[in-house]
Amino acid sequence: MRVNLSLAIAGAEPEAEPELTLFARLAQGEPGAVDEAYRLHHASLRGFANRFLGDATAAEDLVHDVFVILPTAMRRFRGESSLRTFLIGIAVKRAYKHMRSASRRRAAMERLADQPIAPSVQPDTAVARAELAEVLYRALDRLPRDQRTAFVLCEIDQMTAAEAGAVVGAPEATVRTRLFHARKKLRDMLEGEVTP
Amino acid sequence: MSDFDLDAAVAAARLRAADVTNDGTATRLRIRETLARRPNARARRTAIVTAILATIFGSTAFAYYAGWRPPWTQHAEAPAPAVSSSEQVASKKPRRAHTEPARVEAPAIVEAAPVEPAPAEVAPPTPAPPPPPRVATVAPARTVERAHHEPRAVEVAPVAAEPREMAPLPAPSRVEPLVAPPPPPPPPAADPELAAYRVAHEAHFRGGNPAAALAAWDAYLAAYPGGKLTVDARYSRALILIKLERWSDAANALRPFATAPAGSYRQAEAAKLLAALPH
Repeated sequence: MRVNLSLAIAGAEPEAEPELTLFARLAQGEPGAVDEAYRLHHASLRGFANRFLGDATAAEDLVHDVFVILPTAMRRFRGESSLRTFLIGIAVKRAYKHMRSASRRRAAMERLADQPIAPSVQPDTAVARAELAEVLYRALDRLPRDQRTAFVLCEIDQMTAAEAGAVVGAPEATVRTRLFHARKKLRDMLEGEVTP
Repeated sequence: MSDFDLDAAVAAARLRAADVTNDGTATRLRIRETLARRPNARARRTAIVTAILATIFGSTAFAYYAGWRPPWTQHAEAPAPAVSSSEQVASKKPRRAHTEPARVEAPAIVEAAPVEPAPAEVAPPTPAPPPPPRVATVAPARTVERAHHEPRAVEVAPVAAEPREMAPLPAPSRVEPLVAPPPPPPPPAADPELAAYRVAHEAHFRGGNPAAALAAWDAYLAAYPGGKLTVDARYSRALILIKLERWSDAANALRPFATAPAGSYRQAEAAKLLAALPH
């Protein structure tokens, strides 16, 4: 891979050179490279993790796991995508074990009366939004893993089917099929739920 | 729930995720701490490989000095079985030589055809069934000549021994094994010299007791120093001395044969045996 990165750096555009340089530093295990990658991409990765898992605590754990595993994962990186896409791909693979903890936490929260409200928005809107989101994520917890991933990436994260396919390593048509089945199952599961 | 409702739920999930405020400082510190605690993977692999190699090397060295060898090497190192030709006996260490002659004699070193009296000579005193026909039934005189001229006849062991004692034995064969049961005492023969020779011959090739065979040969030679089969008896005595590892006596017994003119009775064989004896 170091050879690939060297070739990529040699033929890269000037504005792409900083990221390729960061790739090379990550591949070589330079201590400051992980810190710099975190500084550049932690916000977008955290947002993705929150949308994917629907649980802030699990999302933070996922972000932590992704950057810890990043130096090792760089060995199989071939420079075919951006670092952000590569990080999201790692996050999708590592997210499955965090899904279980998020699902358990949601089940526990369902038994509680109170739900934390963001202080910057109207309480009733925030409550309604939170309830809707909780309902959705509880339904997502019951979907097969691949269908849930396709739904979250395409619907919540608003990726195209091609982008989602690049992240999960599946053809675009496969992603579309998974998304179709995910929407159908969600409608069936949420049929009868009262919309606030 | 209608599509609209699902879309509203998706939007709500998106907004809820955006509401999360976290500057990521705590997670950054967690990441640094975790990476600092994690040992260098390469160093860990090196340590594991080094430990494995050290274990293998130490075990191999211990096994080597403990004398253990793998089974396949033990089979490869196993010595070849002793050969049964006179040339091989002469070329090997003297220690093996004394065991070889006994083995060599029968198959390769052609012994003089045993002098067996004609069936007619033996038959009369034997009431038992007549002995089977023998191959080398020759007159003693002819036999002596043959003995001096290095007879090449295949050894016909005196298998068909004295009928009286040999009755319970199975039908005799032409070629007898080297290891044979103790020979029965030979019946009184018309020719006492031949009988004495037969006793010694039986003791040598079928008795399994070299000391008894030596005594029998000595008895024959003492009784018949110029007898018809003396030459053969003296050579057989030399072979018994080799079997008994009496090297100096064996050398003295072999020397007349080894130093005889080429082509003499057992000259070449005796020379090789003499050369192979330990000095």
